[in-house]
Amino acid sequence: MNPISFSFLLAVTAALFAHASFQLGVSMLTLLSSHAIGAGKRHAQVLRLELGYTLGAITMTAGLLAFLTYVISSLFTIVTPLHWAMMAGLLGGSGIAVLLFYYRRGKGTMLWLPRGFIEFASSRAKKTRNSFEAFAIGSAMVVAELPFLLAPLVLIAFLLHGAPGNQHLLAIAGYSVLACLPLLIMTSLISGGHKISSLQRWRENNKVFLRWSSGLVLILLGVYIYGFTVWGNVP
Amino acid sequence: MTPTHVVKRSRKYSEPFDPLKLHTSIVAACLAVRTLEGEAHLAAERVTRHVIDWLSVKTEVTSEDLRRVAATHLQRYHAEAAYMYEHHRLIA
Repeated sequence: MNPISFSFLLAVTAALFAHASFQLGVSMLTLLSSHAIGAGKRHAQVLRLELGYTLGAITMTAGLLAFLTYVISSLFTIVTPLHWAMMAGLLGGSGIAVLLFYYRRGKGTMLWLPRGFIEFASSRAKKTRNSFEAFAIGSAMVVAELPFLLAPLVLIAFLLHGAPGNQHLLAIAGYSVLACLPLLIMTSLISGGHKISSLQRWRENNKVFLRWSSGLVLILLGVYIYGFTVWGNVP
Repeated sequence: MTPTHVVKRSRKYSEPFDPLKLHTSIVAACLAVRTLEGEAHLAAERVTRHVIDWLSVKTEVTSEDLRRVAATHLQRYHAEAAYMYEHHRLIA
């Protein structure tokens, strides 16, 4: 795809939207802040932990995207319609999986993630004292979410195929920051004095919307990619 | 009087009820929703008293029961804190 075309921008925007909504779904930042504020930590300490977590998520996203871009650029000298068809299948499959499994049924905003892992991550979030540990938790949560994050990340890696190296770096950094924008917004809201309970209520009230919007965006993106690259004109 | 035992969530072990632990967790929930420290301790004290009354006729309860009853009483004193207290395990 031409990097300045409408199709390219649409695909990137849709991938970013889906990725960002997954970051919004993971509530470990809320838990981390809640425990830190509840333990009576100073405002600066809470902010350091939140920024550590967010930076961890951004760094891991960038690392994964760089790795995928490298692997795809190394494996495929040209991207054929077959590759795009596989990409479309991955996007559609992920979209259906989001609709079916992403949020657990019942009260709260529990995700599909294994309960044992969440118990462990929550207990670590409760005991976290320094921003390095928060950074590690932020990174770990991105890895844990990988089954759902993989489709948008692979799409971006395919879109970056053939672009010059310096553009890769800029695109990876830009994408990682924008995909983690919900975490930055939440950090600024919490440090600005917003109640964590109101953020959590918002998330709980809108979890159906988040599930349907991110799932449908991925499915439609898959259909669009298939239609554009397999049936339409491939540059 | 024998102390009430609290069966933990894993159901692998139980421990005697510790009012201080309950008090601390309620204070933490109140502080997490930006309540003033004095108000948090007052709400926690009241809720802990209610829970102790409720436990007086029981020999064994589960930690889920304890959380639910404490959240019900906390609801009267601080609805936002009760929401966080009850839901913090259902967040992630």
